Amino acid sequence: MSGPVSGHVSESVSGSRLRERPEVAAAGEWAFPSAEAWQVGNGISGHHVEMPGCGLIDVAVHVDAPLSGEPGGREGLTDVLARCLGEGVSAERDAAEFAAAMDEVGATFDAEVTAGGPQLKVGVPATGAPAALALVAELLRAPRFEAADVERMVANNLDAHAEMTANSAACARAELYATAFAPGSRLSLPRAGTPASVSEIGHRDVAGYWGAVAGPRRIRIVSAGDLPAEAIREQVAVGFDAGSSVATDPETVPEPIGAPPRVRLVHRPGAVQTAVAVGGPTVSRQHPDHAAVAVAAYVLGVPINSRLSLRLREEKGYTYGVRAALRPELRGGLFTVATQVERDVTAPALTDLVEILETFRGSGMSAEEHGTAVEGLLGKDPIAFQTPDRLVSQLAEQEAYRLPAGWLTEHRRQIAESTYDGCNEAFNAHVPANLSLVLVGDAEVVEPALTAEGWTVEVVS
Amino acid sequence: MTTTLTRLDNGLTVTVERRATAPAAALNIWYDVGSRHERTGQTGLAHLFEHLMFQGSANVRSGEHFGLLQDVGADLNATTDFDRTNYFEVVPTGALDLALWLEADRLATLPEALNQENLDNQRDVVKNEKRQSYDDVPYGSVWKLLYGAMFPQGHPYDHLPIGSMADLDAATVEDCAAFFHAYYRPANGFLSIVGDVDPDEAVQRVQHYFGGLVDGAGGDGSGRASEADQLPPLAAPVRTLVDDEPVPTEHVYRAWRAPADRTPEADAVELALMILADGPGARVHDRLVRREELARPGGWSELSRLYTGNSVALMSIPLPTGGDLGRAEAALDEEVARFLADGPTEREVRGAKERLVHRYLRHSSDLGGRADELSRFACLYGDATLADGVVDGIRAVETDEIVRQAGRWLDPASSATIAYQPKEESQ
Repeated sequence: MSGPVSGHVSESVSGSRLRERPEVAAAGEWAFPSAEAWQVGNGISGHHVEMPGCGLIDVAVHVDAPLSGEPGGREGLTDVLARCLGEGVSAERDAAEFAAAMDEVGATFDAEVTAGGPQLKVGVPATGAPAALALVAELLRAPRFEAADVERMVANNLDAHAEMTANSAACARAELYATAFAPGSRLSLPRAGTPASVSEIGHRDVAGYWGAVAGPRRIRIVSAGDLPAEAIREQVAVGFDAGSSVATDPETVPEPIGAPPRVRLVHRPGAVQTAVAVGGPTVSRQHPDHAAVAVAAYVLGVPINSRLSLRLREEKGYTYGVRAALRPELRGGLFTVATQVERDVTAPALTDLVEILETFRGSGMSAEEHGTAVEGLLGKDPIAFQTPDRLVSQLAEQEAYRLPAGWLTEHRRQIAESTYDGCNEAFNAHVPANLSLVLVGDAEVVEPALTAEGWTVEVVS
Repeated sequence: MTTTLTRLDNGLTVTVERRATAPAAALNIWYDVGSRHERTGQTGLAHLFEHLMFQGSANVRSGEHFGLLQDVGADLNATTDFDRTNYFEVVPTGALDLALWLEADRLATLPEALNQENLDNQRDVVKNEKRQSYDDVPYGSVWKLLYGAMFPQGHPYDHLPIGSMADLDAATVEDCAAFFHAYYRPANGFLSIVGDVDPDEAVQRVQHYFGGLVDGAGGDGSGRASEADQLPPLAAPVRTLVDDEPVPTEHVYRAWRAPADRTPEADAVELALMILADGPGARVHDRLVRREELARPGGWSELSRLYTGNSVALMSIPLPTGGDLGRAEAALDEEVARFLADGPTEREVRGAKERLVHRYLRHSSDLGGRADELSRFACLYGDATLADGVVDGIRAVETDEIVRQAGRWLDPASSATIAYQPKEESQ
């Protein structure tokens, strides 16, 4: 038997082979697949990417109704509306029959709330696409918002809120929005609304809102898969044609208002980890500097060898993972760093985290870091966008944020042309020096430790 | 689509498939070692070891494996399950050699980089993974309770891959080196490449990097059985009430012993589970969520497919705030009993089959998913091309077989239930 420190190499030739690290051959040109744009007479428009041979179809229907347009005091209306649509509240059949008909062709069907409005998503084997898309069209043409269904969806929303609050990481993220944006502003509230606002929502609110927003000029249909564009157009857009056309024009979304930075600790008795969310308002994806800030976020906290991960995970073992992100909104966005650390190292982990951010602000990324970040960001797209569901997710996200169809191509060009000092300047210009900080953890242990390190913490129970 | 199958002289199984759907290649290696091979007192070692595989080898510095590949945009990671450990890298085609070299170097020389510092660091990372995924998340305790109810002590599946804090604390560098020698050998590895590659050339590249490795003697392994005979359904129902954890709402989890993976019986049980409780078209959803509001949306069912002896049939049914566990469980029992008595409708069977086929096609539609399937069948069942029979196998299940297998395995009287009640309301 081999000794405990040897490996499996016996031949000298293999040893020398393994000593020579292979070069990576340059990646070929790649572009996000060009989508075929279409529009029908009533104003519904869409984009489709045909992927012959994949055997699958994915479709997203976006209703352009940004959350900032929800009536005051009824925040969460879009979430309740999306829940109703996801339930399949068609006037032509009951929800159980709707679900069974989707099942019969193997389809998955769901509705969700995005920053830009409700979105329906269907994924189906190509053979079942006509039937699944006809069901979506039927639903869009004549949804029925009955009082009992809406009450149930309101209750589901409230339960989901309780579930979100009970999850430390999700709770920290929500509290960060509540801290970083002006109190009462839409961005300070969860996308799904608050228990207080959602409890006010009735079926007339939902029906009224749908009537106001569900016109053809607000409907965008993005799709990809094993059918030509005209098949999608015929199935969904024409099917929807008989419906409402009285919707109001899409609203202008107001600029977000930031709030002064604070440090808050949500008490979670007995928690063995502390969820940490740090952040502040930043630019939207429409901003010319967005790509440069995204490169900076990558260097700080996206790959496992990012600055934050190298220190907090690979050097100190404080956490399973840490991540920096730019969370977009229609106007503006939020720069965040999120992690979960062992309770007893919360204070030193936070000190390290803040020191890394401050060092980055002071001296920025190196040319080498910039080069690998650009290569990593550009290199991941051909891998990420292999399948129709991923393509449709990207196209649907662009609709949600009112970005043009060619946005990703332009974003990639901006990343490729960015410079390291340009990225450093953009980071310092568009990410606040003083960030808000939210912790969700056991305050009895965590607060004294933080206070001893000089932090002033506002405890929320 | 042709699949090239070969085995190197040292025993490494290699499967290559050309797919030009993206300028990329997926490399996927299953090692035939999972938590079922761990000995008593060493739970979690397979997973901890998986982390150490990223901490360097003779020619690779700690953390460099991830770094070099992420820097070119690769999607890579590793997972450890009951049955196996899986390492994967989906890379731009030009980085396939680099990925192969990184995998070969750690298989050839990992012990040269094993040291106390790396072990201590990754032990802390894994303990934080356990806290984040199990100890500090609502309902995170359920998996240990459910699998504990399914399998007796000493059974290969008697503990979760994440292991226990005490065992993780006890792991030594010597344990890790012994684990490497026992299981990380070419003949215990199953490598697949799917992507925009020439299959013959790809096999040559694998030969180039892995061909010089020798298959060691293995060592004594776990010292306990990693395989088991099929256990019958539980003789009596088991119910555990958890009322001392900070969960947001009541929740019912349920498990049954089921047939092992890769049997027609397993497919039949999975179809029954889908008809009963998976998705908005399922019976349990229609009654408990839609009609009686005893449950809230988000429930699911799943066959946790396991290799040896038994799989586990699972259901998750979240209740609304202030939900009534007794009524929900009674309604669930009634729905299952009605299914066992009357069987499914043909429409339900058609829908469940289409959904299961769809799910499989999705998983196999990207390069990484397909490579994972090829490695799975090569590792566990000795033939990667069995992956191509999955869809036909699902379609071939007869309705009578669904009724028969559900009757044998999914009886409420042989189920284990873990019922959660929020802490505050339990007083």
